[in-house]
Amino acid sequence: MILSINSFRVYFRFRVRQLRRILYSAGWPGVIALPLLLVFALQGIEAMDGAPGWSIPLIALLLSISWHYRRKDHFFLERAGFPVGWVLGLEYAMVSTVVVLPFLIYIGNWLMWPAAVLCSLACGFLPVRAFRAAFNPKLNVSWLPVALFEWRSALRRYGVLFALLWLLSLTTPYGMAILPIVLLLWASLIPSVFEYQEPREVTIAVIVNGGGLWRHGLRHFALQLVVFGPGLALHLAFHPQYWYLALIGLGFIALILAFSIAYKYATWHPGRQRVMQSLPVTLAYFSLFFPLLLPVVGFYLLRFVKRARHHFKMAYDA
Amino acid sequence: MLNISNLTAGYGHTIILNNISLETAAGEVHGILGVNGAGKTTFFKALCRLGPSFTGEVSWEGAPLSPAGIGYLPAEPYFYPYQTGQEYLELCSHRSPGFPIDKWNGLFQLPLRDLTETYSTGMRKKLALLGILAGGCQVLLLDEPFSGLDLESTEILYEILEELRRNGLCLLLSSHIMATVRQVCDRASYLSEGQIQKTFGKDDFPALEQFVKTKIHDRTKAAWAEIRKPS
Repeated sequence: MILSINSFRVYFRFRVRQLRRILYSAGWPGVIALPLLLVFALQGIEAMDGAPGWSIPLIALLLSISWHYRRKDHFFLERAGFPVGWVLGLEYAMVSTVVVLPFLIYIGNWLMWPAAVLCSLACGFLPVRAFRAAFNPKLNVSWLPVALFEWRSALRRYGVLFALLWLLSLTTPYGMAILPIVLLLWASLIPSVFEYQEPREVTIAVIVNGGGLWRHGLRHFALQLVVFGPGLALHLAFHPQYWYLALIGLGFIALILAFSIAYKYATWHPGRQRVMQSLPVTLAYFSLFFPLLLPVVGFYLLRFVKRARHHFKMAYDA
Repeated sequence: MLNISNLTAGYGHTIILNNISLETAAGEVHGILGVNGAGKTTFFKALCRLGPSFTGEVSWEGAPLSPAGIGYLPAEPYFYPYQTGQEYLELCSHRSPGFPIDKWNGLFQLPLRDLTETYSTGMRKKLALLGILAGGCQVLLLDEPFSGLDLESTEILYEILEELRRNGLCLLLSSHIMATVRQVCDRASYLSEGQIQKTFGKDDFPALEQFVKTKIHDRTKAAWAEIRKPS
């Protein structure tokens, strides 16, 4: 471990460049989305009216912990000789400061700022075990058609999460909001199913010679209908007057499915196996909870579909 | 007959390959040789439309050849994560449903029920090769197919290439190793400075080796003189 100013300088220069690339990838629709996000942020701040002062360091702590355990670059930074605890802690402290600043101004309790900084800094030193990429690598997924290889892989990686949500959908009789909430949560997991590119032989076999991107998308949607068939039947049987909630949930799944597939092939790049997660994907996530963002997501969707079709035309004459 | 005419390819404003023309008959193995960075992989990727911007014409038996009709074995194959070898081959053989996966695997003895993450470099290369065979394309591009293979697999690959040649497939193969070029290729072209400098028939391979040695010697003569100069 090398504790030097240069380590911090190199790391933060790299992160600033990353942030610039993410913002650039959003394009001008992202600029339109920013004021909308600001509106929601202000509403969130207003909701903090009357909240105790310790909620500010709590926000900083939760933000830093969830970020710390989602990132996957610990071991790379360690091997590269960065003072990981200090570098990450400082990063969390800086970002937390930006996030809690509006709350500090609104509530007026500036003593909570050093507490927030210290909590964030401490999170950088939390121990991290080796990232386990898959919960169930040996899970038997042969019941899924092989053309739905993305789902086979996703079940091996996150099978427990998907299984829990599916089981939850079967408790629909106990509440009319259960199925829509489950469908929303399921939709939020869908981008992780499409976070990898496949080799060209598979794309050619399954998509180019398999009826095209539309048919591939329909296959995926058909799977959702099959999976949630029991839940939908229970919802319609026990809460028939709320049939539209199930439709809205399915609509979100269809939107996120279409978005994820289009985004994957729109951002396709030879030799890059991972689909870059960036601002448009974040906006798609947020649109599940803030429907006002839907027009922006819809615009992105059309753009990505056009780009994906262009890639297929160029790469496969399809 | 595979006909490549006036192929120019590059990245952005940088031209890597300039006006390359090549003809390869069905049942022929054509070697593409060149130093590192000569553009061999760029050539194959341009034919498959995998990145480099590309102008030119590619035709097979007189008709334009779609990139989907070309099988490409990259130097470093990758697979969809958390997928077994069996699943990968089943996907690749979508358009050749009768492809006998188990029979072909009798050659390489790969653990197809295991995830590809557990495969060694050589096993990944073998699986990728089976994948492009399962695709049923008439034109195959093999980028360094022998790298990473053990002795036994190298011999098996010789046999496979011979079988593919007998079945009338057209193979373009890149290699650094003259011994493999001599063994499998019917013709070989030397790629340098963005162009095919010369094409040699099987009988002219000794001249090819001499040609390569002379090119290297001319380039390194000055560097060796500097290294050997007493400091």
